[in-house]
Formats: sequence, structure tokens, C-alpha cells
Amino acid sequence: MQKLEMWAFDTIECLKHEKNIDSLFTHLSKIGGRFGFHAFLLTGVPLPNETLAENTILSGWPAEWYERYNANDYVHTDPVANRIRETTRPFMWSDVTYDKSREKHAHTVMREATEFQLNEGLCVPIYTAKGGLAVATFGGDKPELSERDKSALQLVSMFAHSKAVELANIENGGSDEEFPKITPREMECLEWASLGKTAWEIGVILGISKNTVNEYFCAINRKLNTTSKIHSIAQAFRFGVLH
Amino acid sequence: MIHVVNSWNAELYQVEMEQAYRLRHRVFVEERRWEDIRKSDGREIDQFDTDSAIHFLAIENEKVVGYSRLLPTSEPHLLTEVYPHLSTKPIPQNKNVFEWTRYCIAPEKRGGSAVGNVGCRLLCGVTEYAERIGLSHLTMETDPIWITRFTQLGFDVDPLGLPQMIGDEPVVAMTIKITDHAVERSRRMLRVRGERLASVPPTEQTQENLKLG
Repeated sequence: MQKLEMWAFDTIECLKHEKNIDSLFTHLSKIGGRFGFHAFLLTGVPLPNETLAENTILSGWPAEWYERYNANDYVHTDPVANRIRETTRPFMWSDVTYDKSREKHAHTVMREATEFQLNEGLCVPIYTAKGGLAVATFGGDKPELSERDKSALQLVSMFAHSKAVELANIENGGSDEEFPKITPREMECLEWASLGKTAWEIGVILGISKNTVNEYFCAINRKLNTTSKIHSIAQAFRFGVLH
Repeated sequence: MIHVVNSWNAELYQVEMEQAYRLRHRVFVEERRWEDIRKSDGREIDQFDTDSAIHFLAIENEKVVGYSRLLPTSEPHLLTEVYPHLSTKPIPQNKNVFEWTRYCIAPEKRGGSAVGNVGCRLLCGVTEYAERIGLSHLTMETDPIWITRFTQLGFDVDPLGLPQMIGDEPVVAMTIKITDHAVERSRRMLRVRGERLASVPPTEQTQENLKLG
């Protein structure tokens, strides 16, 4: 097996075992460094009405450049950012062509980046299970990558991204994919309510009082962090718990 | 509904399997232009469509709108016969690992950049079946974007080689680990509710046991 493959596989194994975001950051810097990059950015690709800041997962960008980029909303004029949506394959920034005379805003971004020795870079588009788009982008002074290098970095970036998202979620207080645990009785109330039964009717069906049913709903709403029965029912459908 | 078809119940699915072969041709030959598997009769069948192959058919209103196939790695399969260069690690070949191939959805049933409804059900159907028959892993050769997708769905992904271009498509060989946690999580995340697999035929081992009776 070749050196590049071995490096990629070993790196991926390490990434899978990363436990905190800081050591992942250090690891990503090293990964970029191997190919001549001194900066990286791991971020969701902002929608037209969103900012880079609210989508950033991990920034290894020069701080001043990140601030300026964000303040000027460069993400929406950056020709590299626009290209991400058009492909699933990794590409170099220099692969992105634009008309320097016509597209002044685009040229501004590319030119100002060079003030921070970000002359060339690699973008790895990352498509998530739910159709979201993210990117791992590496920037440097004069990096030179073979096609195999790009493949290796693409592979490694995808695992780094997944791990970063996972660690960031944990730090934000848990995954939003798990439906909170409710008791079987509470589940029954929710099911009957979703069929249009009133609290009184549910009480008759289950052989309990209307007050007890309402108490169950208080508990459900508290666990689901909702403020109404309707909202709780909607959440249950969203999570596939009700059909 | 996702229907599982193997040599045991293939007789009952002759019409549907014809549709499946034509869907395969439509997607892989006409759309993705894999010219080397083009067939003059418009039915994409290859040397791996043996009695050992397991076919998954997504059927809606009596039409096959999605298809996928599992092949035992203990027999010749795509990774050993067609794409061995994609794997720099030893190719998994044992009875607990199957290769996942020919995953395709009819164009009108796709979901854009996300996996559409039929795609989700097919994916969950295949992984659920894999779990049910006790597989430890599935191997596949696929677009690298599936690394992120399977990882997020809860499957441990292990690449077998670096991504390479085949024609104008990037392909990576990889394995995913089958656990009940991942199968459950993907059902939840992809909002695949209610229905389980339809008509799951007995495995080879069960078939053997049944014959002895």
C-alpha cells in the first residue's frame, strides 16, 4: 500500500476517535499543513439570507480575514463559494474562472485573500444526508497537489467534517435527532390526540380522568419543549414516532 | 413497499424483475452512460445476477420505481472482478459481508440533493435486511458523498481506497458497519415510518433447513 493511502487511513482512524473540538482543530491544521496549506475553514454553505458566521463549524482562517470576510458578506460574492453548489468533486480555487473586469466583487474577494497569503486553495464540497451543503476549504501560499493528493484530502475532510459536526452538537447540548423519551401512557395520549380526540374522550378511552390526561400533556410538552398539544403532535410526526 | 427477491421467490416476481432490469438500463446505461454494460434488448443484467443475488424492489402502484442489489462477497462480485484497483486494503470476502450495488431510483421519484422518499425507503430496506440476516458489513463502490451521508445516518464508514475517477464519475470503495443502532437511527433521520420490508424470502440457510424437512 502506498504512503498516501496509509496516511489517509491512519488519519481517518484518528479522526474517528477525536473527543474534543480543540484537538480536532489542531489535527485539521496538521492535515492541511501536509499539503502546503496554512489555513482551513469548515462550514455549512450559507443560504442567500444567511451569514458565514452562523454556519461556521470550525475556523482555521486568519482572524482578521475571517472578520473582514464576514463583515462584508463576501461569502455571497466569492466565486469559489458559488462554485461549491455546482459540483460534488473537490476543486482548486484557481479552477474557478470569472471575468476580472466584469465581476469586480468577485475579484475583490480573491484579491484581498492574497493579503493573507491565501493565494490558492482546495474546496471539498460535502453533501449531507438531509440535502444540506457544507464545505471544507484549505488555503495556502503556493500549495501544489496531485490528483491523488486531492482525493486523499477529500476523503479525510469528509470524516473531519462529520466528527466536527458531531462534537459541535454535543457541545450544544445534545443531538437534535433523538425524540425525547416519553412513557407508553403518554404516547397513547399523543396518538389519540392526533386522531382528534379531546382530553375528555381520551380519558374515557383509557379509563382515566380528563385531569390526568391533561397532566400527561403537561409532561409531554415539557419533555418535548413545546407549548401546545398541537406542537407536540407535530413534533411526534416529524420524528417519525407517529405515523 | 420494498420487496426482497431472491431465487426462492423469483418466480412470483417475473414481471417486476423485468421492470427492474429495464430501470437499471435506463439509469445506468442511458442516463449515466455506462456504455460497457449496454444491452441491445434494454435489460441490464450482468454476470452477477445469479441465484445468489438478492434484489430489492421499491414498488408503487405496481411499478418498480427503485432498485438495489446485494451480492455475497464470498463469491465473485464487482469489487473483485471489475474494480479491484479501487481497494488498497484486502477486499472483504466472507459470508457476513455483502456488496451493495446498482442502487437506482426512477428519475421522477428522486429528491434532488437530498435523498428522496423512495431512495430513503430503499436504503432503509436494504440496511434493515442486512441486519436481519446477520451481516456485519456491506461493501460498496460509490460517490464519495455517501461517506458523509452514511456517517451521519449512524453507520461506521471505512474507506478501502482513495476516491478515483471512473469515466467522469468519482468512485470510492468502502464498507459500512451494520448495527441495529444505525439501522434505527437512519429510519428516524430519513423519516421512514411504519412499513417494514414486504415479502422477505428465507435465506439460503433457512432454505436448506426447510428442504431437509
